[in-house]
Amino acid sequence: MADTNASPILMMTDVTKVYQSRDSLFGKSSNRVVALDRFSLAVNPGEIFGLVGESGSGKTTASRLIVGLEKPDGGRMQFDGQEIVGLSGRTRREFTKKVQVIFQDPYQSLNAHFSIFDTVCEPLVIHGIGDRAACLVRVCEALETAGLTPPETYLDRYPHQLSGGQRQRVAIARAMVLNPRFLIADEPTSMLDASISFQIFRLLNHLREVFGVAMLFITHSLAAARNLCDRVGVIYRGRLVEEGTAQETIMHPRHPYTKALLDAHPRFGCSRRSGYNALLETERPRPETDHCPFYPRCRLAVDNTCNRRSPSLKTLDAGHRVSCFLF
Amino acid sequence: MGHPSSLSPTPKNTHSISAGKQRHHWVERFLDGWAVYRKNTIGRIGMALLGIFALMALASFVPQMVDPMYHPMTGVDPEISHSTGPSMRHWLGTDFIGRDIFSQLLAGARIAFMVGISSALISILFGTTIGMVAGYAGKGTDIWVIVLMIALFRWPGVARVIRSQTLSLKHRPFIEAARVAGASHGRIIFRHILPNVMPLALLYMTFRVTSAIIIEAALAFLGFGDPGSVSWGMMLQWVWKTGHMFQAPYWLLPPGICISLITMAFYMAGRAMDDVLDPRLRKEEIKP
Amino acid sequence: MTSALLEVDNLSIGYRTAGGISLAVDGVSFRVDRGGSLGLVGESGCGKTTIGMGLMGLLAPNATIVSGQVRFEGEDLMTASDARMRQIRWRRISMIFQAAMNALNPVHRVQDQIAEAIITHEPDLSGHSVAHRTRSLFDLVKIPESRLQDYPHQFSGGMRQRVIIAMALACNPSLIIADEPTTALDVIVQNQILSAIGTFQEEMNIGMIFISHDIAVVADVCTNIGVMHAGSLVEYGSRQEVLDCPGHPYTRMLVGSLLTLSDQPADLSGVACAMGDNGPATVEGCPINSICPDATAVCRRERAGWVELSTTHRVRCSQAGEGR
Repeated sequence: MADTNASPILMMTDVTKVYQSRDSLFGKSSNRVVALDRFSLAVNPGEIFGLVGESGSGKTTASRLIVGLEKPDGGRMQFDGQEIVGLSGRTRREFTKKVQVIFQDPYQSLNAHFSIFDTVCEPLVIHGIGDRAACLVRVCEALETAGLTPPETYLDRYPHQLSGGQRQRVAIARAMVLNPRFLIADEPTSMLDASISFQIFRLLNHLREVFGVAMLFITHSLAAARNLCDRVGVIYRGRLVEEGTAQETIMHPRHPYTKALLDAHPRFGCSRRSGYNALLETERPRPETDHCPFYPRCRLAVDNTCNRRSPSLKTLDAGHRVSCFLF
Repeated sequence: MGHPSSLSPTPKNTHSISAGKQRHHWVERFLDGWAVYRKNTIGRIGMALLGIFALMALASFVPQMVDPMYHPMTGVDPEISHSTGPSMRHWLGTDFIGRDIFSQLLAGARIAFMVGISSALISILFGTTIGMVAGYAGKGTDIWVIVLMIALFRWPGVARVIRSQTLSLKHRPFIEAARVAGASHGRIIFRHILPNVMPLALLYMTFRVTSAIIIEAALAFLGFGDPGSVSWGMMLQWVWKTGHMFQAPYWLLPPGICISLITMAFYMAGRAMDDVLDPRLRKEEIKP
Repeated sequence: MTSALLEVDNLSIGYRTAGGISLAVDGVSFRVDRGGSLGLVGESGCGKTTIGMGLMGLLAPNATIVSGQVRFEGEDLMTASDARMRQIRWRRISMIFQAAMNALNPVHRVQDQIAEAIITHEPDLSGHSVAHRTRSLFDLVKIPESRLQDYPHQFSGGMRQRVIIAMALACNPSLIIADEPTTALDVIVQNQILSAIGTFQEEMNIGMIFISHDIAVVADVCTNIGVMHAGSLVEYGSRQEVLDCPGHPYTRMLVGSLLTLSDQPADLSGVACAMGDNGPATVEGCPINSICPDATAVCRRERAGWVELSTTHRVRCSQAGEGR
């Protein structure tokens, strides 16, 4: 289980990422989209951290920055105490052995031209680990870990011959074959049926318990975060607006945006609670000056404060942090 | 496809792992691909036709060795000075100065193959490689590579299509998964992107081959061919120029039919290659 | 008793394949009352979308209606001509599709697209009244009038879905088939769309078939729920009955695999997911007998018939009703 006293395995400090769309021929930048805005995050060893947000909130950008698919425009990122921005060569290869990603869409994340063996084996080939026989053993182990049994029957098959749940298990096997210390799961179940999702959650939980892998679990579903994660961070427009244990954050939300998310969650199966009613019917115009990212939609916003300055994360009780002037 | 019944490696399940086994792996792949190809009727017909034409091209050296009068260009039957129909001496007859049509037809197959294969190689090798590199490397390189293509080949068609295909592929999750796993650029281009653009490259190759053959024939027919060599288009031009169009079907039909058949054969073979290249198109043969 | 708007009786739809006809929908019966709503829940591939397309007469060319009766406002749709179906479609039965971006033409203003939907089906209307209707539709789905002139790409996903809803409502249909209308949307937007759907459905007294894979969403908007598995309905009843005491093991599994926000997190090692990855399809007996925890010899031998748990609640499971 999570050891909160240990130093974090992953630290993101004030990371900023801006996308500029060029639409004129001569490359004058016109549209600036701030995907991450002074975003900070810490994941402890052996912990599942849930990053919750809507599409476009920057949660996927965060994961892409961590694994080096994109370069940040500012801020620092450390893995195991080592700076990971701009790694190259051997240090980068060492890093890629320790951090792996499970992508959202199992129909897209597997190369249709690779057999399952080739797919799962690829990280081993890239890192030049083991000869053929050793690889075969490790691939079979990984497939078994991911719940594809008996593994031998899957080796020669191709992704299109598998169901969505099985494909996602193959993706998990590929991620686990190098025995990584950190997994990023980017909405791994949003394309899957409920019962299959449930099994994938169970598998991820099992991986954490057996192998001690720390995880950044990216999701738009508060229920999934509540059930799988130790701690939860809520991200809105590239800012972390609330962070705390899954229990605290979801049962006693502080930030108006978290409350709005909870309000919108389908009621089914949980006691009908009185709504927090934190969302405005009609949005306010976005102020020109620095402001709280949620100001335009926040019913509880205080004029002359929320539209003038941008709040920073404040620690409330027991590691529950919230970025809101109301606290 | 078989399943290894135990963890011990079985030959059927040989995959690339170490450089030493690489060759074995490719032979294995080829045999697997051939097994898939053989199941495709269209592919079999195309392959058989191509085989016949290849035999013809090879056999084109034989007649002039039997008798100099069978030389397709310079050999003239001393007893014949006008076009004659098929006979034992000239299986498909002779042309207007007594040259053997059958040996001309064989020589034409050689030209068709040369034209077809050379253009195929150019399109598939240069076009695909340059297109993939341009698409993968991105903005700066992109423009210069394209300019170079236009300057060198004045024909960037395949490269352009492959480039746009690569552009759409390179942000697909499975490519990013490979990048996250630490794959090198070369590995991503040749192991991940290449198999995915191959069907398209192949389609373009079939178009290129067939259109090159047809264009060669058309140019030769119009009189822009190499007067020193015999191609099917040349034969058609001679038929037409000497006014035998409607008099000598034995002369007109063979080159015409050959042109149609060889283009069709290339197309059929290319079509069947789709099955080999794309595992999704193969018939399910694995029982769960 | 309220009058039935749509009655579907023993509907079977199959796809022609090399090995004969394979049934995607197998003997499904249900009814939708005027102003009532039915949710069809099931996992991917259970045939729920095929039902929707079948009712609209928009089946793929290789699909065929094998048997069954569909009566809509007293009219038999199975024998209706193509011309008649075109009249009914969109005017009387309309549809809300899942892919909001694909259902709108990117080169036309949304206002014109809605106007076109109205004019196509009601050519006699004057330009003025068309414009008026368009405005009131936008009002209904809560899109500001100022955005009438915009193009689809200027809208967010949720706004686009509202435009799609407005188009579906354009001709005052009496039945709307909503096929996964909120699947690609964020939870806040989904909530807004669901409440918009609830509002118009109530205000305009429109019958609705709501197709979704998410039982929580269906529970939010529908008064009746039908649970589908492998082409057949396995449970059918009012929302309360189906959710509070699900009679079919498959329904229990669907409900059980739903993660909730409750104080006690679901035990992820629980038995609810004993099912999951569909077991091998069996030829005989109940289709889920190989994965069902309660399966008996009877289940392996024969397909269960309908068991009435109450006048409105029926279950297709031989174990249902016993010990209850």
